[in-house]
Amino acid sequence: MTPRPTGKFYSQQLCSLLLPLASTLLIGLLLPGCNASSINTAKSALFSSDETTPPSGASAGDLENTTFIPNPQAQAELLPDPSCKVPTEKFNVFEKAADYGGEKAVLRLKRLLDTNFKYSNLTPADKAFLKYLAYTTIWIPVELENKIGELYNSMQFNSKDEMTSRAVKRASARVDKLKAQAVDYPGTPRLLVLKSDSDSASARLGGLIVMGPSFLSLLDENPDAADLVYAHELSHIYKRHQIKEYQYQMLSSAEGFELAKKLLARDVAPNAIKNTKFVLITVPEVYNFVRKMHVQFTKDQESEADACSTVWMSKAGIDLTTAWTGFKKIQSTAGEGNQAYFAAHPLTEDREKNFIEAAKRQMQTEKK
Amino acid sequence: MYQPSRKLTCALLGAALALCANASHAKDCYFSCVSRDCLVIDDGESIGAIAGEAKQLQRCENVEIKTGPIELIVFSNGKTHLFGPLDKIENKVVAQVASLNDNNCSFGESDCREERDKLALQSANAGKPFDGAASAKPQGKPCRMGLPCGLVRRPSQSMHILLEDPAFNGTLSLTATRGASGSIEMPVKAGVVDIPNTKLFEPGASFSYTLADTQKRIVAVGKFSLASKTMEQDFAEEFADAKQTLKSDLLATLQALHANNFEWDAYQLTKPEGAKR
Repeated sequence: MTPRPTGKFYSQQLCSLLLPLASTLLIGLLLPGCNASSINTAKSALFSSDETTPPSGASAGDLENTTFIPNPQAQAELLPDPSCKVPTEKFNVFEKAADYGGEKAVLRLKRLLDTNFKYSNLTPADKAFLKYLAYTTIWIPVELENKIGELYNSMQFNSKDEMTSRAVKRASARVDKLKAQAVDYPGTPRLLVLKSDSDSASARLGGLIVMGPSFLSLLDENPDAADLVYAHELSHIYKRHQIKEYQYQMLSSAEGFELAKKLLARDVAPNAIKNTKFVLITVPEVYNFVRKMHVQFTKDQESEADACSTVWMSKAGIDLTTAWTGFKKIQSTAGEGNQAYFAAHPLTEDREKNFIEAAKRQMQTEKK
Repeated sequence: MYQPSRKLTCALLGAALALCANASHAKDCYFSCVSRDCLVIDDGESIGAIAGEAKQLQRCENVEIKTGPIELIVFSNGKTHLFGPLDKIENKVVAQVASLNDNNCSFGESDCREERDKLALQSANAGKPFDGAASAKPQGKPCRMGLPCGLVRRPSQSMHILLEDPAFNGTLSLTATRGASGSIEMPVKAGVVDIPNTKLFEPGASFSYTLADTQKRIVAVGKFSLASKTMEQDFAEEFADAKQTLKSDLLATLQALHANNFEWDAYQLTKPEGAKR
């Protein structure tokens, strides 16, 4: 098993010192034509392509000796994990490429990462291959993700807007209790309650669960529902859904693809000079990319988060039926007309069914 | 090539320093008369109060006591600082108050409330509600106008709202968006509106509202949430704690309100009623 990448690749002090400096100097200068709308348009256009022939401009040599049949088991890896296993995504994408299609897949990946390989030359098979890599590997170690998250959040939120009260402490204690149930939780997530945030609870890059006063009060009044909400958001962070979505989005546009190539081609065991270069150049690019994106989790990721919630709540001694009833209670008084929400989350009936199934699984596991 | 003159450079520097200085004045600062009517000079303006009454000060670093004793309370960076009872402001107190470097914005200040309005508008465009609650998109400057925003105490009787503009007449329409259901429409007369306590005011519930003028033109759209029952208990405990050190009930109430982020309630509590507005 390849361990998850750790901060050994990067000196934390180096990151702390160089990241703000590098970002200040380089933000805005890099990826000048890359914006959220162009990337999203490209993403929907390209990843829904049904083309079976190489795009114009691709040379015959692009595909020579690198055509392979994907391992059927690889597709199964993209399905939600119902048992909330400890994430063990490989950092070394070449190892994962070998899982996907053997030696030929490794060769193909090397070709894709060539500096002269153009995004427009990606075939539908390449896109499926890259999508697989985006969701089954992690290119950014959690320590670095946290640094990027800190920078991103410091630009988004002002510390003076953070709420501190007994209610916030109660909520944080619930988050900590649930987090303690997870094995090898990446990073140190924390709850941030802002005086003026939208009416939501959301998992953000760098391990923050952000919410506003309205949600704090609602969950303080409905503690059964609170456990489910906090466990759900913690699960998104645990499964690193946010960074995987960013990885997937990177591969969905010409500009993002160039950045992804830099991340993927990075030396697995770099020396100090290479590290410094990477932190100074690539990290600000990643930040610049991330700040333009609005990530929305997939329904599979939402289902996976629900599955993890049941495992942790159960371990924490929280009654799952009571939690679900509490959650439904707060939902029943909310407007059901919010399209953005229903586009992102599975239908309530499906969630309930999944929740009950997950609860049964958990009970069986505990009996064993 | 254009070279700015020394005078202009100095003027710009001076303006920048003045802005910095103004920014550091964002402290929530109140005084209360301890045993009898009192009088203070706040930044050159004379302010009188009766025994037990609390009033907000504009510049707590620049207060002079004409008739005391008073208690002075300063909320800075989420902490409460109490001074007094005082018969005169000594240099030591002035220095202590001035040293409270405050990054928080004081909700009593219109600039701070206007900033909240901007943030509410920004955040309305991002994120998704976890439970699908449909929320009205903010319009205008509801916080700036004195309408409820953020976390608000659940009214025991009616919700009494004092708008900044004492001449405003129109209608306030309130709708529960989460944790309760229903809506109510109430007239606004001379900048005051009272919303009767109906089943609408459930603990932890959220609301959106629309303020319209007499011509039925929408002036502002905003939102707020009511405290949970446990938050109300927190408030009661914080008040009891504050009463152990503060003589004034009003100051103790303000301290408990600030400790629980009930900024709007604190701001409304110190707004003068009726003809004094």
